[in-house]
Amino acid sequence: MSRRAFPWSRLGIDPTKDTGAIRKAYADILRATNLDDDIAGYAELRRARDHALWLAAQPDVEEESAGEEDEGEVYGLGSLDDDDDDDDIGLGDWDDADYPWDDSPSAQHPDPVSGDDPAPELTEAQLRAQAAWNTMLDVLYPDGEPSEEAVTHEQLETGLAALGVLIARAEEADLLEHDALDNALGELFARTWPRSAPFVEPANEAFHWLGEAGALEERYALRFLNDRLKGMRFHEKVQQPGHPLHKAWAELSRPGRAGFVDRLRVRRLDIHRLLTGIRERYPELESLLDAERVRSWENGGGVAEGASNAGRGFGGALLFVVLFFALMRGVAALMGPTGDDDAGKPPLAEVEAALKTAELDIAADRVFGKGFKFADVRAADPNFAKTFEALVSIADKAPIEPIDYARTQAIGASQVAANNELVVRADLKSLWLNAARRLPGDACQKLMRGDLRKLDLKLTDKEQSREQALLRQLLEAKVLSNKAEGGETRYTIPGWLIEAMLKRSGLSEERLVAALRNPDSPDRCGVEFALVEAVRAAPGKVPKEVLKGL
Amino acid sequence: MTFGMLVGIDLGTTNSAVALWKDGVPQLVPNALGRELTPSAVSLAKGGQSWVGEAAVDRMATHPADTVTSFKRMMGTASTVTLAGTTLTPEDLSAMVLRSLADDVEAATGERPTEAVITVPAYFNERQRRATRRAGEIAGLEVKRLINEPTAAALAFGLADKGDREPFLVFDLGGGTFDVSIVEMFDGIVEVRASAGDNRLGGDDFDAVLARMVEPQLLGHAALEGVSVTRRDALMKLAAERTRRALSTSEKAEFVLTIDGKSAGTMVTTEAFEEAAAGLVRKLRDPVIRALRDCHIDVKSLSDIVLVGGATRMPVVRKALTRMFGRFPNSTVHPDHAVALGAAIQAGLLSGGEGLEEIRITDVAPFTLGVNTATRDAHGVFHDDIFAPIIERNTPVPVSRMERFFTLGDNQRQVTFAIYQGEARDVKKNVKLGELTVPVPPRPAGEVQVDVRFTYDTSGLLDVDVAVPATGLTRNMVIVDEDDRRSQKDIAESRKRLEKLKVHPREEADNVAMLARAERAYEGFTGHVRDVIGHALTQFQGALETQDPRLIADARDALGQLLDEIDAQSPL
Repeated sequence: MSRRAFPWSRLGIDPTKDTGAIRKAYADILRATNLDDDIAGYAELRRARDHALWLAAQPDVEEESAGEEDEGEVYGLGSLDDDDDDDDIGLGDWDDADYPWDDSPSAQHPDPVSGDDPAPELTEAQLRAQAAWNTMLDVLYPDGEPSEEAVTHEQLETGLAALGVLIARAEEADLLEHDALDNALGELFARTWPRSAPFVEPANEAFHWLGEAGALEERYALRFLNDRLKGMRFHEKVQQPGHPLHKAWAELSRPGRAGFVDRLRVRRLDIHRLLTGIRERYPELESLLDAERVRSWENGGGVAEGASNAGRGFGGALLFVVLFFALMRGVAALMGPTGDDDAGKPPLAEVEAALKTAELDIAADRVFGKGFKFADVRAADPNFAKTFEALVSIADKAPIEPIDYARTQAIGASQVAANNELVVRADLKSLWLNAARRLPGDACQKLMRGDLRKLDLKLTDKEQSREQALLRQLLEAKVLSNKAEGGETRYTIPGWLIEAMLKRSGLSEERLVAALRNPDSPDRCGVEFALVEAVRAAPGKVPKEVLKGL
Repeated sequence: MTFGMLVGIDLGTTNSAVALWKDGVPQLVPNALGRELTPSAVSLAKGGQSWVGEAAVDRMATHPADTVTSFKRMMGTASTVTLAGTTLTPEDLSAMVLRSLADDVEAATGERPTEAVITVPAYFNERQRRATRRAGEIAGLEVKRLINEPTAAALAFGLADKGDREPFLVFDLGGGTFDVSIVEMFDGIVEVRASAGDNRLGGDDFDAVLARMVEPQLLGHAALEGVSVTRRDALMKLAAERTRRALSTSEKAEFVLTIDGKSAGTMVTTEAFEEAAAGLVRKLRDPVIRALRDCHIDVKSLSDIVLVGGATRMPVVRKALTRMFGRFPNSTVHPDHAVALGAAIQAGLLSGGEGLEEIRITDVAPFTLGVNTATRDAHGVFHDDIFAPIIERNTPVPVSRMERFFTLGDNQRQVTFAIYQGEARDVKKNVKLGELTVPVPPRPAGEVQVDVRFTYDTSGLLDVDVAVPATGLTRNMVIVDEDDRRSQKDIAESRKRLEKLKVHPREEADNVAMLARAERAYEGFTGHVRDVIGHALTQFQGALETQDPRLIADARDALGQLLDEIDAQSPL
C-alpha cells in the first residue's frame, strides 16, 4: 500500500479514473478523522482528492497521441507576422498553440457576447450587443491603433450610444454574459485610458465598479480605473471654491513661477498636502497643474526665504535667454535642491548639465517612449532615476544598457508589485518570449534565466512601442526601483491552468510536467510561453504566487 | 451518559423557529399559538411586562416606541434600544426570543433544552457571531455550534433524499441578510465550496423601498397629520410588509395606513415596485458572482438553485434569479423552515443522532483573516495600515496557516499585530478582532523575524500564535475566549436584567396574542367597524375576568372569527 504514489497513497486506493471511487475513499477517511485534531492531515486529504479528481479528468495518453505528431511545428515561427489581421479573431483562435502575436483591438478584446463558444447562436439582442462592442472598439482604437488623443464629439456620441446598448444587454443577460461584459469593458477601458475616460463613469454606474474599490480581490483593470474615477471626482470637487484644497489647486494651476505675494496667500501645508496626495493617488492629475509653478513651490523654501527666491528668479530669467525651454527645466531641477552650493561653480557647469540633461532625455525616450523626458522619469520614480542617471552618464563603461536595466528590474519586481503590475509584467514577458523565440540560439533560455544583458530582442516598432507603454506603467507604479530579489520562487500551478497550458502548448501532460521540472528541457521555452499566455487569458483567476513566479 | 437536550434554532431577522432531531427526522416545534414561526419581535410595557412574537408584532401598531423588530441587524454593534424605560442590547432582545423558543420546546417535550445549535448568516462577521453566542448564553442555552444558514438549508435540502448532488447554489434572502453558498454532496459528505453575501440586505430593504416610494403620495394626507414620526414609521413599515406580501400574489395592491380612524392609501403596481427595487435587485448579483469565482465553478454546471428565506417569495426576486441563471430556481424546500430543520440535523449530528452516522459537513471560512502590516514606500513614507491576509476567504476549515514578518525599524523593541477580518486592502475598513504584542530583541531593521500562525477550527474559533524564533518567545491568543472572559460578567448581568421582566404565563399566550391583535384592529379601524371591535373586545375582557377556561375559549374564538372577517375585507 505504501508503494502507491501521492495522491493515491493518501486516499488508500489504486490509481483510478472512477470519480465515484475517489470521492468514496475521501468520504471514508473524512468520516474517520476528527478534523480539528488533524488540520494538516485534512488539508493534505483534500489536496489528494482534488489532485486525484484532476488526474481522472485528464484524457488517456493513447487518445492524445494523435495530437503529438505535429509537435515540431508547435513552436514554429510559421505564422508570426506583424500585419494586422483584419479577420475577427474569436476566442477559439486563442486556444491554438501557435497563434500569432496579434495586438489588433479585436484580438486583444474578443467580443464578450459570444463567449468561448466557437460557433455561438446569437439572439437578436446579442447580435446588437456584438455590433455595439465592435463600434466601441472602433471608437477607442481609431484606425485600429491605440491612441491617447481625446475622442471627438461625434465619437463620444457614438461611443456612449454603443455603451448604452452593451449596458442594456448586460442588465437582461444571464450571469455568465453579464460577467463577461463587465470584465471586458473594464479591461478595454483600462487599456485604452485616457481615451476611454468619458465612458468610465456611465459604465461604473451600471456595473458598480467603485463598489469594488479597495477590496483585496479588486480586479486589476478596475483597480486602475477606480483610481482614475476617484481622480476625476477629486478634480471636479477641488475646483469648487468650498473645497479645503481649492486655493492650493488654483494656485498651482496658474502658469509661471510663484511670486512673493502668492506665497503669502496660499498655505504651504495645503500645497504640500495637495501635491503628495495627488502624486500618491491620482498622478495623472499633476499634468493639469502648471509644472513650473509646482517646481517653484517645491524648490523655494518658506516665506522667510522670500528674498533669496527673488534672486534665484532673476538667475532663471537670464538662463531663459540663453537656453531653450526644455533644457531649462532640467537645469532648474538640478539647481533646485542644492541651492547655494552651486554658487561657486563656473557657469560652464550649467551648460554641461544642460547637455547631460539632453542625453538623459534621449535615453529616457528610448526606454519609455512617447517623448518621455528624464525629468518625467525622476518625477515618476526618483530612486530608479538615480541608477538610470548613473548608467547613462558612464555610458560605455556601464555594466548594463539602460534598457536592459529597466527590463531586469521589471522582471525582478515580482516581490513588491501589486496585482495589476504583475499582469503588466506578464504582458511584458509574453512580448519578450515571443520576440526571443524568433531569434536563433539560446535567447529564450537566457531570457528565462532573467539574464537580459546583451540580449538584443530585435523588437518590431510596434512591439517596441508596446514595451515602452508597459514599462511606463511599471515606472509609474514605482516598482522598477525595487532591489531585485534573488532566489527561486516556488509555487503550485493550479489544475485548470495546467489544462490551459496543455491546450496551448499541444504537449502531452508528461512532457509538460517534465519541462516544468527541468529548466534545460527543450520544451521549456514553449511551456513558459504557454504558461504566460494562459495566465494572461485569465489573470483574475490566477493565484498571486503564480503571477509572481512568472 | 446523560446529555442535555440539544435543539436547533433559526434565529432570523423577521421570524425564528426551533426544531429537534427526533426519531431519525428533524421536526419543527410549534409555539404556544400552534405556529412554527415566531416573529422576532419584542415589546415591553412600564412595570416590566413583556411580549415576544406575534403579540409583540401587533403591539408594534399600538405601542411603536416600546416595540422592536429586526434587531438581528444590530447584532455585533454597540447600539441599544430603550423600550418602556428599559435599555436592552441586541443580544438581550435575541435572548428573549431564544428563551421563548426554549419555552415552546419545554412545553412540547416536557424537558427544558440546555444546549443549542444556532444558525447565523454565512456572511456574519466574527463580532456578529460572538454576539449571537452571547445571546444564547443569556437565554441559558449553551451554544454547541454556530452553523451558517445556507449550510443548514443545504443539509435540509440534501438530506431529503440523501442522494449525491453536483454543486448547487443556495440563495438565502432573509428579512435582513443575504447569503449565497455553493454546496456539493456525495457519499454523505456535505461540502460547502464557497460562501458570499451581504449582511445588510434583505426583505426589510425591499419594504423600505416600497415605503419610500409611496411616501410622497401619503405625506400630505389628513390621516397623517399630528402623528408622531415613530408611530408613522412603524405603521409605514407594517403596511409596506403587508403590501409587499400582497404583491407576491397579484399585479397590484393597496398600500393602506389607518391611523386613529382615518385612512390614507394608494395603489402600488408590481411594475412600479420592480422599478423602484431595481437597485436592490442588482445588489443580489455581486455575491453570486463572487462565490462562483472563488470556487471556480461555472454557473452552467450548477445542478440547482435552491431558494431559502421568506424574501425569495417576491416575484421581483424570482424574476431576477431566472434571468441571472437562465433557468427557473428550485423551490422544493420550505423557504421559512429549511434553516431550522438544518440546524436540528446539525444538532442530531453533534449528539450522535440515529440515521446520521454517515453524514459529515465541511464548511469554509467566509472572510479573509489577517493582520495589519507596515511598509515604507519609495519616498520613505510610512504606511501602517495595509492588510496582510493569512487565511483567505473560502478556505476550507479547519485550517492553519503561517506568515512570516520582519521588523521595520532599527532597534525596534516590540511588534504589535492587530488581527482583522474583511476584504479591504486598508485595515481600517475591516473588522478588528483583537491585538497581540510581542517583545523582540533590538536589532537592525528587517533582521528580526516574527512568525504569525492563524488556526481556524470547525466551530469558528480563531487561534493566533505569534513566535519570535530569535528568542524562542511565543504568544498565543484565542480570539473567542478572550472576548468571552470579558463578557462573562455582562452575561450574568443581562440574565438578571431579563429575569426581572415579566412573561405572560404560557397558557395565556393565546389570550395575550388575541388581546394585542384586537387592540391593533381597534386602533386601525374607524366608525362602525371600530365600534364592533370595541364591543367584542369588552366581551372578551369580561370573559377573561371570569377565569372560566371554557368561557374564555369561546369568547376568544368569537373574537378571532370577527377579526378574521374584518381582516379579509379591504379596510377602505
